[in-house]
Amino acid sequence: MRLGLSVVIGIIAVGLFLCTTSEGREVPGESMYKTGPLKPRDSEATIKVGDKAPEFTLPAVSGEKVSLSHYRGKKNVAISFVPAAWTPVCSQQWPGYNIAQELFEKNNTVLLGISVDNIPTLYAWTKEMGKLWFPVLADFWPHGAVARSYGVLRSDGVAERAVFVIDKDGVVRYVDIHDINQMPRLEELMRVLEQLPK
Amino acid sequence: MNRSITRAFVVAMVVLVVAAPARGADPITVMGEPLSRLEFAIPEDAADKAYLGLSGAGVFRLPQVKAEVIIIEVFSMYCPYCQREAEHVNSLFAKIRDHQALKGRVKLIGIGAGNTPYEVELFRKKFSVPFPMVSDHQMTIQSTADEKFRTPTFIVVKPEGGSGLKIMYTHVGKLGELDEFLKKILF
Repeated sequence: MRLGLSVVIGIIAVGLFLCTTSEGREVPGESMYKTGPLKPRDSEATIKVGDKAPEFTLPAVSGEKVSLSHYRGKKNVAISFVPAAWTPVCSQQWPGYNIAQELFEKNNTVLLGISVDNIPTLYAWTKEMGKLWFPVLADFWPHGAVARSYGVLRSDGVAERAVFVIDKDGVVRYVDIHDINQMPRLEELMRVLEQLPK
Repeated sequence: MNRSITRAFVVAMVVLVVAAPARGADPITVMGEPLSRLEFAIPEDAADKAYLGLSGAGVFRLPQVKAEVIIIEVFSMYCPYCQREAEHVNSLFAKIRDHQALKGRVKLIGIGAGNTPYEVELFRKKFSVPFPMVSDHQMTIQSTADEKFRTPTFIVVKPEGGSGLKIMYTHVGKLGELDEFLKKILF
């Protein structure tokens, strides 16, 4: 009996320890895969400002399916393609967007994050970032099909670091296929969103 | 029964102590001389200027800050760990502000590593940061250390001789218990 109680409390202690460590990661970058410098761009652009945005439906980490057409006539859409989960720049880009929710909403814009990783990977990765307010979509299968339709699938199967802004009519209003090694600046995106009809 | 509870408690504590991870990462070695030469834009906000003891416009260096000790938080708006730590750092500011012996002697300043002024301002507004935060868009802070800065990093310095800085303490990651942190760094 006594031993049983000791074991139970010991298990609780181990549980507390595990909870503490999962929340207590204090230093960013420990889980990140170091890619080193990459070729800044490795794809052929197929989409330009003024084009109709290619339609897509992708599964979200939250479990729902998200279609671009869902926002037609209602909201502008900013799409953020990132190359891959657990890599340094990507792991900071979305947390930056995450504290700018009010700015996106002020400009009647929804943000969609897209990566070619699968749902379990994206689940674990985005959990590390904290609670994201915007949908994170897996362009995993057919692998990178949406990235390819937007002309941002690289030859090694990851996406470019790219931002597209699509207005309420489904027309592409901004394209930034960024140097994959660099962070696109939030203020540049906000400048574009502020110019869109609300 | 009491003995068994006591024994169970001891078992639990032993497990916790043995299993508990070390808090914080290895400290970074920061060089005071290059840090003292970095220049940042003088804040426009009058309250920020008054807090730092600065006036006018243009740029300032850290040794110009009117303080006996400066706690520098190197952060990034894009860093989720800095975001999670923001409220706790605000509490550190409040603790110092409300402490009779420390008030006015110990100052906090945030340096937005690689962040534009827009990004620094967004972070500051989002987390209602009460102390001044400056932009270091060009990441000049990196010139003060041989290893890559991780965020958040806290550097505690003492201004010396009008233009120098003595590095007293560095800490990478979460601050942990604030009283313990203050004990480590002060006087």
